[in-house]
Amino acid sequence: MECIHDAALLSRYLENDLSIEEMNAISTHLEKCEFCKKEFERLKTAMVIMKSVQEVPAPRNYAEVIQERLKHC
Amino acid sequence: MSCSGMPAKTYWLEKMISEHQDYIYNFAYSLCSNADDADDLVQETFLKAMRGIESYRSESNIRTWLCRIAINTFIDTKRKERPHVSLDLGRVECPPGGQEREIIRKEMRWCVYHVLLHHIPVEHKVVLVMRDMYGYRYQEIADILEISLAAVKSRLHRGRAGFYKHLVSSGCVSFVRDYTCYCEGAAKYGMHT
Repeated sequence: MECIHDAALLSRYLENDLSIEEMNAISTHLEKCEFCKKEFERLKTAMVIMKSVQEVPAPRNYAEVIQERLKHC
Repeated sequence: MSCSGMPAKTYWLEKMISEHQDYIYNFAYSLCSNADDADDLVQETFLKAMRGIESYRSESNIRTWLCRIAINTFIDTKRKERPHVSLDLGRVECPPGGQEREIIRKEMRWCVYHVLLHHIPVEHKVVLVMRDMYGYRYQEIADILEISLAAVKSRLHRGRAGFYKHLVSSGCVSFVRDYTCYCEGAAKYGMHT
């Protein structure tokens, strides 16, 4: 296949959001195209970093806050 | 908790908020990137939820419904351009004793929210946060935002690409020292394009 250089396609590949034929074609392409391989690794890194952000507890009891605000509505 | 003697609406309010406030607060923080705006957004979200209980009855998932309210409220109120201000996320207090892992985790969190706030367009950020932070399915995102599946995929890719570019490629991470972002400096030297 010709060089795809289509990062949107790589983004879908990352999430298995393509047909089996397309997945296979891109796998084969990534083995020999350094440009697309780097782009793919970047997208993967971005996704891993986003998922790594840890949640924090809510800073206050919003039930009380909302009850109070509703009294003044 | 018993609802005996408690008005149904009050009981429902307390139950709904206690079950979902951590999730909605973190979701709001991901959109706003700072504690004050996230706090406002959470309050507005729950207030609107209370006023629109009737519309919830047709929804299948209360958390999705709350997120939809939060997103619409965020988009309505945060469209205005925000200037890049280096310290606007505030200084993150590190734990004493050099707990390296904890420090790195907070640094990364700071960097992520900084990039989301200043370097990713709102429409890309919303999709990116919903998909990569909260795991919403494409179709759910399309339904909540009332856009096509193709638009979801396109915005997600652009969001990911922009996020990576600013967080790593352009040097945001390596330029962060003491929670001060030097992106402006990076831009000056042509590292942000």
